[in-house]
Amino acid sequence: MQRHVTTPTQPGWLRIFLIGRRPKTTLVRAGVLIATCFVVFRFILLPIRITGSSMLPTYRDGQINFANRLAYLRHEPQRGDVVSIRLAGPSMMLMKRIIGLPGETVVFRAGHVHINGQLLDEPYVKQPCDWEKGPVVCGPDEYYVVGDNRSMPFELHEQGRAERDRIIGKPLL
Amino acid sequence: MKILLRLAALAALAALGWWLWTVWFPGPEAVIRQRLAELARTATIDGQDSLITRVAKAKNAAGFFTRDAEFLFESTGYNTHQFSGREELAEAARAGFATFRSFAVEFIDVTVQVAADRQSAGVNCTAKVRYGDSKEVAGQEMRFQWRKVDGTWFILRLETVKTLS
Repeated sequence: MQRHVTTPTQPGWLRIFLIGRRPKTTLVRAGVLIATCFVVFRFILLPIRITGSSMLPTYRDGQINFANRLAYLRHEPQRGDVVSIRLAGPSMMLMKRIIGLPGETVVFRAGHVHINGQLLDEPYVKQPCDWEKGPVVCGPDEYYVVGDNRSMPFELHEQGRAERDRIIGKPLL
Repeated sequence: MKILLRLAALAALAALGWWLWTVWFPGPEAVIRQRLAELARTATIDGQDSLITRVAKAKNAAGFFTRDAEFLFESTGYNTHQFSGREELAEAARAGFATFRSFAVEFIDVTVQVAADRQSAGVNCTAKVRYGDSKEVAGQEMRFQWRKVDGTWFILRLETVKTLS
């Protein structure tokens, strides 16, 4: 009796291109990728779109970035850090730079920042500024934040003391 | 196998029953969230809305507040405003709706805390406002105090929250 042996047919190139040689493996890989992206972009790196001009020229209106929520896992925010500050939640945030640390006194005098009476060097400020603001003392858990665009009118520029628990991370880029 | 299937069917029925219960008899938090969403829709003005529609929307928006409600508005770049009473709020809403051609309001990141007596609640959220066809949005943190009056939740107090002090 003759035995007939049939060789399995090779899948077409389109099928290989779309779902690979082993569909089950492809499905598992896709699942892992989706889960990883969900965890990363939902809890670790929040995609953000910058609106407004308060951080010019460092960040422009319309730029895309990511808020790194793990930035302050091992250390506290430092002076000079650009940070994301949540409003009621993380869906909308302010992006400002820290100039004053907890316990420090911040003063704007003729557009220059003084911390505890000492002039602060701010190389990131490129525009002229004439702001005047009386001494503001940061509480034990507060950071003084302000944008880099100091040519804006003082009344229109959102700035002040942010509580530590509102600072949720720093821009990745 | 049959027992497992029956248990699974029972669990699915229980889940369905619980879901229907929450839809037909929502808790205070769900009701407040619905009211907040309704307020956002009422406060949204389309460029094609006529003056009569805007006046009606202003009156409807004020209807979400108690008669003795208070609204305190403080935000960077704007003058401070304080309104007391539903009529004053309606008047302010009419003026606001007449000033802007169109804007869309949305409340996001809503957290609701219902008091133990289930007659009052506090809500914290961000008001997201888009003016006209602009891509830019303005965000302002808000704090609401709600009170249940004759079975319906109304806003007793609304104030803006200063994110940066």
